[in-house]
Amino acid sequence: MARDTKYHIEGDETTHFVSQRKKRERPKAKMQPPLTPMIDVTFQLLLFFLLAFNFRLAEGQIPGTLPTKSEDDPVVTDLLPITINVIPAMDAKTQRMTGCLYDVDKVSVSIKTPRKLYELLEGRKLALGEAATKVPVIIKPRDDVAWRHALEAFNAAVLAKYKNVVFVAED
Amino acid sequence: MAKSRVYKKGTGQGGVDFNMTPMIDVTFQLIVFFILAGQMASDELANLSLHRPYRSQAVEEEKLGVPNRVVVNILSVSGDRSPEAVDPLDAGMAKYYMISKKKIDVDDYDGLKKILGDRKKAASDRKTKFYVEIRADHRVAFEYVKHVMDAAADVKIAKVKFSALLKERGSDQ
Repeated sequence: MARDTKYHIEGDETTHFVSQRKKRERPKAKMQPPLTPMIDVTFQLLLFFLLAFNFRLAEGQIPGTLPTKSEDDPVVTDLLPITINVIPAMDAKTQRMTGCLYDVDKVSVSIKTPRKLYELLEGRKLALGEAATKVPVIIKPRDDVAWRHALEAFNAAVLAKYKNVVFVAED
Repeated sequence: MAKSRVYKKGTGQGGVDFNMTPMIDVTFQLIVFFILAGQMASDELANLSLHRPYRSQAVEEEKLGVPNRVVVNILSVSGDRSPEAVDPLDAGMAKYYMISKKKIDVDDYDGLKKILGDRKKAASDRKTKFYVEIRADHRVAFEYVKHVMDAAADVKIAKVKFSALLKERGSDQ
């Protein structure tokens, strides 16, 4: 589209004309902001993020409750609790902790994997019916057992939808 | 974002200019990536190795609401060493407890209790219930976690949350 060659001045009725040649002669104003400081700052930012960045795996939280230490309101329940003893397993040759055993209600067969523990808890829940989720699950890890094994037991109970899961210290 | 455009500087001296625009574009993309994808190193969360349980029931913090908590980190003496490099007798040992960059000796039960009590008092005006978040290295022995739970129960903190890695997306494990 051809550019307008006419213009008006405020308060003046006269129409002014600008010739095409004059227009071509007029250099177009070029705005070029200085990029160097911006690049400097951008690289500083990038360097900061690269150094401060911590590649951490996504973590979350498993909620629980702590027993109150007051003796005024002891928790009383008619339901027989499920007790999970978490016992460390040691390799005789290397004398290193290799895993653990989940001993549920002192049954003769101990469970070695959290998956099996979950299946057992799920099975108990099905057998007990509706009230099952209210059954207290008591996790009794031995003091020297690695935290991950105790956490697995807690997670298995939460996964099986038990509502009352507690940690109890060894006698 | 800036347009990518090749331009000539009209100096008439025949100088060659680099086109900086795409480079700035890429740099900004990288910055945005680091901001969005990354979690910044924080004062509260120590650098330790958490456990991912079988079908982890851990929930992202954002889904649990505004945190009103004290984070107790339990660091292992094993640090970043491989299991073989650690003395079997030291395997389950904790190095120290850490609360907001403050180190507490593992035998200093009273010190731990005092800090938990102070933090609870300081947070008493908050609407959400105060809780202790236990971030224990997966290798430390249960007794160290038990100390924290005992100390929290002593200062009448009833809620606790255990940190764990989230379930891997698309995985059944």
